[in-house]
Amino acid sequence: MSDTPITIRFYDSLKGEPVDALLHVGLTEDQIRAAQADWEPIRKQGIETLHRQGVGLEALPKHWGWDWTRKISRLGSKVFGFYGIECAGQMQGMIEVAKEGYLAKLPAQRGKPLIYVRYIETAPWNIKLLEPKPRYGGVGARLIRVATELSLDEGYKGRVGLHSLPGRNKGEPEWFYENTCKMQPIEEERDGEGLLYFEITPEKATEFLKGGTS
Amino acid sequence: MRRNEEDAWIIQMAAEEDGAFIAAGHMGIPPIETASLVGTDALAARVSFVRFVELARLKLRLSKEQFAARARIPLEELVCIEEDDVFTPTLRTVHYLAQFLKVSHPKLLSLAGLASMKDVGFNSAAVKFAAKSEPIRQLTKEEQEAFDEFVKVLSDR
Amino acid sequence: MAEKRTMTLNLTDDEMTSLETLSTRYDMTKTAIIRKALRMYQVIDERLQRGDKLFLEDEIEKKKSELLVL
Repeated sequence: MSDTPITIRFYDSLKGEPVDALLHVGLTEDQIRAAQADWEPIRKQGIETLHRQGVGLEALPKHWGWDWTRKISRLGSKVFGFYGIECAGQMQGMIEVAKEGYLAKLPAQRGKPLIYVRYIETAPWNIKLLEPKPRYGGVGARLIRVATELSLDEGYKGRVGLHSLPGRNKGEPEWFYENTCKMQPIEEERDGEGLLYFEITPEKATEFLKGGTS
Repeated sequence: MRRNEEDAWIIQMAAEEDGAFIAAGHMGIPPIETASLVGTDALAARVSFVRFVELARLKLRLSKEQFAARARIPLEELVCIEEDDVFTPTLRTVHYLAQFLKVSHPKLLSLAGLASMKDVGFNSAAVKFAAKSEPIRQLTKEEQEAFDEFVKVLSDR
Repeated sequence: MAEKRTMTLNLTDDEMTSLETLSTRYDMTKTAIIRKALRMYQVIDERLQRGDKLFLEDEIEKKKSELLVL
């Protein structure tokens, strides 16, 4: 089930300029299956190559076994939302969010509802670790923007929370959420897999959406 | 947001993100450490892995070609697994083998020498299975029992 | 994100007080509270239509009680 796609601006890294892309509000089963079929072999091949080059298991991206088709049963749910950015006929990034059931943990906003990012992934050809010349840029930020704007629309004032995959170095997920998305890590809220929890306040959400120097 | 503002925003974000790996969500696999098995344990794991794959194939009564095709792994790699003592399979092959044989992926990775598991019970089971299985062409009753018991250990996620 | 339509809602004093309390507690507009309540009602209603039941649990006493929803 999906609404009419919205045209957004998206960064074409190969051209070095913004181009038009489609933001799909709600995804269909076909879209998810197509994205998985496009991403999975390249994602796995890329990680396999890193492993052959001597990159240790602990440093490899941990999402290599992800399967978006396992989330299909939640399509159409009023509680979960699926969004995807399509450009050049392929899905460049997808995000699944929960609109209910999650409350903020930061002391300043504890107990207030937020949008929780259940899964977020960018196509493997957009990740420098797997593809030296990524095709599109800012995919992650654009998807987090989707979650933040949804939070505003739901009356949650821009609050968003998520559990990041591991990696504190530049170019890795925890670094990205803290530095690019202006989210705050909360050590005490690590999940059962040990993943670090991040959350954004309404003030930081406004900064993130505005961009510019801060 | 106006187009100019939107362009400025995405240009800035693309520069900051700079092709970063940004995934969030569950990993779906338990944390595994890099391979650190030594001596007997490593050898037992290696033997167990090879014997397990070979016996699984024999139990299914498949030729190497048929097994490789159904498991979606390269035939050359299957031959190396079964016949080359020092060959290390690829991550991809172990993943597809675990799927095809319906066993725990982390445990099979450990047996293949690509990771280690701090599970004394599992490591003992691997040693026991290695000791009981020999390179024969037909499954004996004892071998069948040992194999079935080991599958239970591997399938226990 | 989706297009919205406007309606007028008449509430009693008590209902308005409840709405204002929830709005303050969760730092949401009254409209957002109503929309959230509607979504929760839809989710619960779908499950009830399937034959499921809605229970509340007392965490301390470990007791469950069924919530009747009309």
